[in-house]
Amino acid sequence: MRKDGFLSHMKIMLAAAGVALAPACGGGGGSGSASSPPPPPPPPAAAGPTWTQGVYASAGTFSDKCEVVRTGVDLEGNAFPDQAGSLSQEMFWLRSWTHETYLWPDEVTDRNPNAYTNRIAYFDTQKTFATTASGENKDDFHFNQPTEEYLEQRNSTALPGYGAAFAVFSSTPPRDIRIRYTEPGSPASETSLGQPKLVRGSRILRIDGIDVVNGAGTQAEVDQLNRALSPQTAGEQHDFVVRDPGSSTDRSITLAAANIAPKPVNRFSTIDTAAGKVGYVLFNTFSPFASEKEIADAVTSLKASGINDLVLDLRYNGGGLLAVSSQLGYMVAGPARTQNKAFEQLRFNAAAGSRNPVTGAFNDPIPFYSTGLGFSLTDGQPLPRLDLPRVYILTTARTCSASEALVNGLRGVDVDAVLIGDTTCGKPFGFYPASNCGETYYSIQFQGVNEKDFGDYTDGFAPQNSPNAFAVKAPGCTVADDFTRELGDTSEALLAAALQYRLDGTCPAVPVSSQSPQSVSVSKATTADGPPLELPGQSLSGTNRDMSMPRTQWSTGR
Amino acid sequence: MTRRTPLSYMFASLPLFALPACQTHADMTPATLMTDDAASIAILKTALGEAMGRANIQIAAADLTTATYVSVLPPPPGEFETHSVAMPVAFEIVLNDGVCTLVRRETGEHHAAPGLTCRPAKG
Repeated sequence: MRKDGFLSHMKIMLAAAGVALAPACGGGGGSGSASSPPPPPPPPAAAGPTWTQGVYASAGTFSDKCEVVRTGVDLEGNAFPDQAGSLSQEMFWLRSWTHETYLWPDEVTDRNPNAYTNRIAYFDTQKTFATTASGENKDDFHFNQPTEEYLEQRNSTALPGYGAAFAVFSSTPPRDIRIRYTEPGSPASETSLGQPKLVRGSRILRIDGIDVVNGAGTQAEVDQLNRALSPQTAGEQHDFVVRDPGSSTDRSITLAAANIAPKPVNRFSTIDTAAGKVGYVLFNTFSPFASEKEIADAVTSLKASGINDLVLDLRYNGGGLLAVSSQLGYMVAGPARTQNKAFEQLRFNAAAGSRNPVTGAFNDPIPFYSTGLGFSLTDGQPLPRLDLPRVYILTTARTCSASEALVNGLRGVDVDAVLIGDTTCGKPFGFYPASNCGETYYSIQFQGVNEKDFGDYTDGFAPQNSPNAFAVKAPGCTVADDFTRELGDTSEALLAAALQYRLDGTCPAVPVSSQSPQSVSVSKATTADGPPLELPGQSLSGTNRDMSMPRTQWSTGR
Repeated sequence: MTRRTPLSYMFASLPLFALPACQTHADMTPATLMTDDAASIAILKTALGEAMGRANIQIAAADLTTATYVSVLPPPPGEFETHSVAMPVAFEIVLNDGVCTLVRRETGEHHAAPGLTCRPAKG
């Protein structure tokens, strides 16, 4: 297929060349010569773009020159920009685009696209293969997906689900699936016999009569479980048997799926302590536009309640809009600490100079925004502010990207970001997804640095007493995630440790383990007596969207 | 820090090349929509779509019969855009020699919105 397209393209080129060259050939008809014309020259061996090592044509030369041309409009109503081209041109576009916009173009080996027969295989080569001091890949965030899927995902605000975020400790027998949190007002948080249907830590034991823990020995049963965990339509009902943390009895519930949009601020509260009031906010995503208003409203309410400290629970916040992260930084720190300071400066590749190589705009730093920006708050509306010199942030490995930017941004203006929990994911990087010929590519294009020009936290941020030797250390305590208490409960391990640290600067004597009520292993099973659940991955429903980046090539075969 | 630019400053800083030759700053008056019914919003979105080069336009919630600008929301971040620099794009609403016009705040480019009815902003 590639070859056919390639040759078709060449024919067009040759035809054009023939026309252009005709006048220069001289002679022509009417010369009166009786001799027969010479045979036509053989076609050139090479066709399409020619690779010269280290020489890059502008990516624009190759953009939208597609082997397979789409016609019509995409699901956002935009006409497909495709023009007739070839697989070779698609790969030359990847090569030039990477050279122009990748953060580390000098570390990409220049490979001849014409030696490849698959655009994804070629894309996979367009990155650095260096490792960090910890042995991790320097670039763990390089992946792609069909553009149609990309557009579908970003336009799906509400998806069928129960409003429960599932944590999978083991997807193979003995399987262990529990609830991280539930969305307020969702089917999962509806009451049944006087209590919410699902609570944090509830373990799923049976679904529709199938033993989730040790049963489901056939692929058909596993598929049935997966379908029940990832309902496809609102109204779909499934029967569950669950056991709550601290309980020795099982409960039977029926869950009916609904279209659920994730709520950025899941809950917030004011905690009275002997040393004054402390605000608590469970903030799960910076992504939907509603996050701007929800977090501002929560801060307004907490400020009104007279808090003098704040605990931000970002343990499951994988990031999203950097601007909202900046706004939250301002609301925490206030104008005296942030005025005329950078929340984050984007650092592009060296060749970009002072420009953003993707947009072409001047690369201005992202300030600490002090007003609404129009996502869901009125543009220009002053934000509430707490003027705090420190903030307590609850973290896990799922605390990622824009959440880490908040930690880094605050550290840049000397606000103490006290971390309680585990090492964060380590993603100071970002990109502008680029679509070409039906595939959307993600390649690291910038690194965020703070006011102090610091952004090297690829091994994450970790509390001071963490055994992680490579993470950037911050004040605080290492504490394992605690599934035995509701989030926001002052006896939940991370929140309890934050309150203790606030009171006397000490950490729990022994890091609290995430011991479950059922005392089962929380690691992946080493032996499997049945097929693994695919686990709706990290994305069982719209409410369960894992906003963290995959650390490996993203598979579309979820 | 706020990113808002006062309208007066905005006009003063408009690049000259963005102005039609037959018009001057004096012709432009901050304005609001006369009505924000579905038909007006549809016309507004069409004009914004042409200005942005996008078919799908979502505008931020606002009372456009009193607001002198409209914010166009960026496409929502995709599932893996965890470090997204997406921002709304603001357009000032002005009457430009009597024609309802949208002025892109960050660039000063302006785009006539034929069929859209505006009136001078109060106060």
